[in-house]
Amino acid sequence: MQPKKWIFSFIGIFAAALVLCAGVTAWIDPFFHYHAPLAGFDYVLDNERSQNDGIIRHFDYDAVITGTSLTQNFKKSEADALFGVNSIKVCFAGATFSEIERNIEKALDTHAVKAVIRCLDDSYLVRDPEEMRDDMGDYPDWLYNDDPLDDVKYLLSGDVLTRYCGPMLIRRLRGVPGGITSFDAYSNWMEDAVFGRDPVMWNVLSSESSEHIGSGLVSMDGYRFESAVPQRTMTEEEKETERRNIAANVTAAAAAHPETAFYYYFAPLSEIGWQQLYAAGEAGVRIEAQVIAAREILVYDNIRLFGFAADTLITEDPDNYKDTGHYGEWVNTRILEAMAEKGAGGNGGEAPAFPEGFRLTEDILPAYRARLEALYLDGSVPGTEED
Amino acid sequence: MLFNSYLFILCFLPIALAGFYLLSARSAAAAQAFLLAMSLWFYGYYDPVYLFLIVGSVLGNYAFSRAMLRTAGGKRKALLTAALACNIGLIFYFKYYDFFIANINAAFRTDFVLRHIMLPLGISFFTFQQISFIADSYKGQTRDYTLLEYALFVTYFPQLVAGPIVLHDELIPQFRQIGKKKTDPALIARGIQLFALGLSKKVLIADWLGKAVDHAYGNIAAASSSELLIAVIAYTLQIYFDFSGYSDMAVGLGAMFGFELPINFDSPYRSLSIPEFWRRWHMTLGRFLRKYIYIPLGGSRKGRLRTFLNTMIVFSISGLWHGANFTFILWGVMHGIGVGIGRLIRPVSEKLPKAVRWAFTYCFVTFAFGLFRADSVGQYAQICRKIAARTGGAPGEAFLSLFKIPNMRYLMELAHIPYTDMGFYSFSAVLLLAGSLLICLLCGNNYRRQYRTTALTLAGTAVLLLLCILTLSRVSVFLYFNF
Repeated sequence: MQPKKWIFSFIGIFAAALVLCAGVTAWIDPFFHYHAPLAGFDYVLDNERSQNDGIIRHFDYDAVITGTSLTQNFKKSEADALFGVNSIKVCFAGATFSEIERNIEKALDTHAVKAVIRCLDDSYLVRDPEEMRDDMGDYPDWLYNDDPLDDVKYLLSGDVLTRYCGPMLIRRLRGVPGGITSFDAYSNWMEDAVFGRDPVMWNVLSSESSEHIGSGLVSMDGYRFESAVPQRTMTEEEKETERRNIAANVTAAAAAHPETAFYYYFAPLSEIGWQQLYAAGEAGVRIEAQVIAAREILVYDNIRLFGFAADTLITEDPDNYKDTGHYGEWVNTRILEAMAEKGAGGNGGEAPAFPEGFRLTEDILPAYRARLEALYLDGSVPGTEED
Repeated sequence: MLFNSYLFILCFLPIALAGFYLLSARSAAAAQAFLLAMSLWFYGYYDPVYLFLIVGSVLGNYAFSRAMLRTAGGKRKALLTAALACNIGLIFYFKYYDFFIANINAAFRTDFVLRHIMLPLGISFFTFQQISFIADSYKGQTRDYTLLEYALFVTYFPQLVAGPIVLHDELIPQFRQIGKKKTDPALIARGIQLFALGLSKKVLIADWLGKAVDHAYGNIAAASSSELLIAVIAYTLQIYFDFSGYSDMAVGLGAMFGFELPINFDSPYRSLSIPEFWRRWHMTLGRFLRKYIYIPLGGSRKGRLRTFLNTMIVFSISGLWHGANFTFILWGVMHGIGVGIGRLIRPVSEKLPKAVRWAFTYCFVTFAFGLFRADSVGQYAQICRKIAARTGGAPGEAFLSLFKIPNMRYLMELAHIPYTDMGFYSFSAVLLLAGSLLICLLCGNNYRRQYRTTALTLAGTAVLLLLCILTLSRVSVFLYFNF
């Protein structure tokens, strides 16, 4: 072939291949960057950071379930039935409040949202308002911004073509009915989870905070926390940081959207998790952080705040957890039912062991604080060895 | 701007080529000016502040060069000294200041403040390029180049940030042929193919190897002996495919514009001795060091001891040029010793079987590159101790999974091919490491091969380039960008 013909043929073929690849991606759009799911294609939801933005912008809904991994086991079907809504579940595992709030605001800006259900992971309360996690991989900023030029990273991505578009085309050719992963199943991690004391204790032993544990460590069965570190209180700087974080990333959306009801809650950290915090001298700080956050949040009538940290029916049973913080989906059900004020649910439908219930108000807050302090700051640190 | 980016391949390069060929038909000066502007855009894309540095460096060196051509004797020598001092001073400040101060503080327990100066991209390359020009100007070997020609020579984007280190008489005469010489489509076709091959070496192989290397070097305490050993071996391959891939791309880009750039890598991992390795690895750097340092010091003309001393000086400078860290200096010293001993024992070593000579050379190079990659000499000592201790058992899943062939598992699932995770990872690791080495040993050198314009090469080049583009959504980093 003449070199000149080779060159122009190469340019033509290469350009055509690029247009084809980009066209296929834009047409099927597995990340919903341009449009909602197309009929006839079987969409798999399995990548939160890549797909949630598109879900938020293009799906049809009037409620949002969001938060960190502590919200991944919520079921849309339960939430819809309890709250009378049509929800989407868009969780961001490991996310800071900043990331979650931005996505809530996007939902509120693009849809008439009746309800937002969100966990306020209290380990993220005292964080800089602008903080974003940068240790989990490359963030697909091109899917979140308005720059059409960097869409090329989506349109010409080999991963998108081979892991999403290609299999979807093949399934369509094989006659697999069109559809989309249910939000009940999306992000749900129950399938591979192992619950009970052993995995929870393994989490303790393998976590960094075990550095604070004293010489009592013998074995997993005979494990005893030793409080080698005095309990500390929050510094004024931390309190200020938290207030700024709450203002920017928790209450801002509620303030801007008084027509929307926000159902926010503090998660039930396991008792072992609290013992670990106590051994590190941080239990008091965590309680204080919840109280400070509650005071900032309760100013807003459209935020209904709930606290499950004192729900000992859950927290004292390691069989509810796969590690110190992550609970099973039956706990998510209990939380939803409590927030919808339709019953405690879970664990045989038992009500909490205290009369004031889970809903936090200005009046109930002191009792909530006292209960947590009594549970987790009583000066002794019970071991976890078998009696 | 990176060669392996959408912006460069889909926007910058088409604009540069179209503008260059349209203008070169009308005016050579306009075409040169256009290329200069594009090159400055390329360099300044990282940080526009860098432009002040390179423009200042070009203007300053050009002024020195013109002044030297107008003077003679002591005055010319003084200008040479001043020019060299300015160039070396510039690179010393940006690259070695903190290293120098940190070592002064450590040695004399002083507390001088470090400045944490950002290292301008490619400063080592364009500084050496200009030093060669200044040295040749002193000898009266440079012609009456215009400022435009000289500026384009220094800033020409294919070789600006990571070489090859081109000499003025290699490139400027080619610039003077713009508009005079007929466009050579065969050369352009060669350039496209060479660029595709270079990009694939970088994106498909080097970056893939780099994941496991980064993981092991970043987690030495947790890594097993076998993982560290694999990482050191992988790095030797990574650095070759990364750097030679970049050089292939640079030469390919040059060819697309009708210019021939010099070869920089001549299949160095086929070397049978350390001296031979250095005749094949980073050849333009070796050429610079030989011409402007080794020979002026006396080369090999002043006896064995002086030859060895000159060799050690050159390789120490080479090590230091690569980075402001004792790891690079020691790496250079090791190779200097290797070259010296290699020359000394050549009459004996040449009688050994080739396989033995190759194995020794490759192992030496691998061992030295392990040091090159480390953050400190102490870190590499820790790695070596751990490798020697043979602890931790077989490589773990977290490490091996970094070798996995992208998207292959999904294809296997689609094709219903049974696999286990560890089996898949191990297969990928063996394929990548062995495959990379076999490419080094068996495949023809990209610079030297014949590039045909057939339907097969057309399809192959298009597929290869498309594959590279589709892999670009992962961010990759050039290893030699800090020189």
